[in-house]
Amino acid sequence: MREEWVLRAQQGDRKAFDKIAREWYPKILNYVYRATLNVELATEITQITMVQSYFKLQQLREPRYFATWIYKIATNLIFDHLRDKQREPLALDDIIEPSFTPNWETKLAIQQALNQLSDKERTVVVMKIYENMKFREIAEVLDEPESTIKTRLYNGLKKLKQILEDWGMKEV
Amino acid sequence: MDCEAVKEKLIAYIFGELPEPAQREVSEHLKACKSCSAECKSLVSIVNTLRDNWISAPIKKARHRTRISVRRFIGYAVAGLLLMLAIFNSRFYYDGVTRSWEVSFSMLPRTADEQYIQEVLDARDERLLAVFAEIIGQLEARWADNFYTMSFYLEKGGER
Repeated sequence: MREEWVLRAQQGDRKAFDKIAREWYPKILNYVYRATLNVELATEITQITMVQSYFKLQQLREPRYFATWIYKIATNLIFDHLRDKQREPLALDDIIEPSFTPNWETKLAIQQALNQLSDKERTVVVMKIYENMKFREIAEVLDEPESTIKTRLYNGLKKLKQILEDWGMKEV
Repeated sequence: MDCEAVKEKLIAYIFGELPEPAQREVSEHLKACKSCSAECKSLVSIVNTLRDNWISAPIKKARHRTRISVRRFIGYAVAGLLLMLAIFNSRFYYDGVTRSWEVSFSMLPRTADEQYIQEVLDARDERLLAVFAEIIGQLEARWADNFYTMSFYLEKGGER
């Protein structure tokens, strides 16, 4: 992420924000999708995240923390949407189409196993494993102590392993 | 460092996020303790399984509308027009020996003389061609450059 683009966007450069949005839209979409496992919801949350990041950009004091900041916006939206939502089995449309991906059995199993985790566990797993964020960054995004994040990740990983092994996956 | 302390730090250890003295201490403990080592391997294994099987949003690629600037559009339009002119003003010529594809970019209709010459050429009338050749030959002496193209046609016709 180029800090200068954030700075320029903060100064009202529309093209700079377009560049940021183009870079971040797919990242946020993938992140939200992994956390929610719902395509429509992920698309909606990603779009709201981009809109909010545009209008709230002036509030970001340090451009170098843009990544943490935008993840925070997306994460808050995810929790807002999932807070009162009853856990539902994945709709057929939300499941990865097996024929289009290699190792589709494993991916499908992982997707379903992630769905068994609590929202907070899944979010931490996604941030750490897929988004490769530091524990410090995750703690900042979620406004929680690092120790809580580590415990949540540990529990999440143990649960995932157990679920996948119960389903007969070997070498998990 | 005992097993309980190691298990607390294990998750940070496998992601390389422990400060240096602790990272080394955990590492040494794992070499000696089978139980903690197995726990560590188990966590690394599930992390690798997750990382090897990335889940990505099934994004439908947006269709990019091609933006063509006005200047480029005019350029394409002119090029297209010229191409159309070339196609409709072209003529394939074959007299049994020579093959040629003649293209004229002129929008003006042919003059009556030009049309007559063309008809003679098309009809391959030997007698008239000979007359033309003679006339052109005489004219060539004075206005060779002006009639170069016409004589070229006649010569081609005369070769048959």
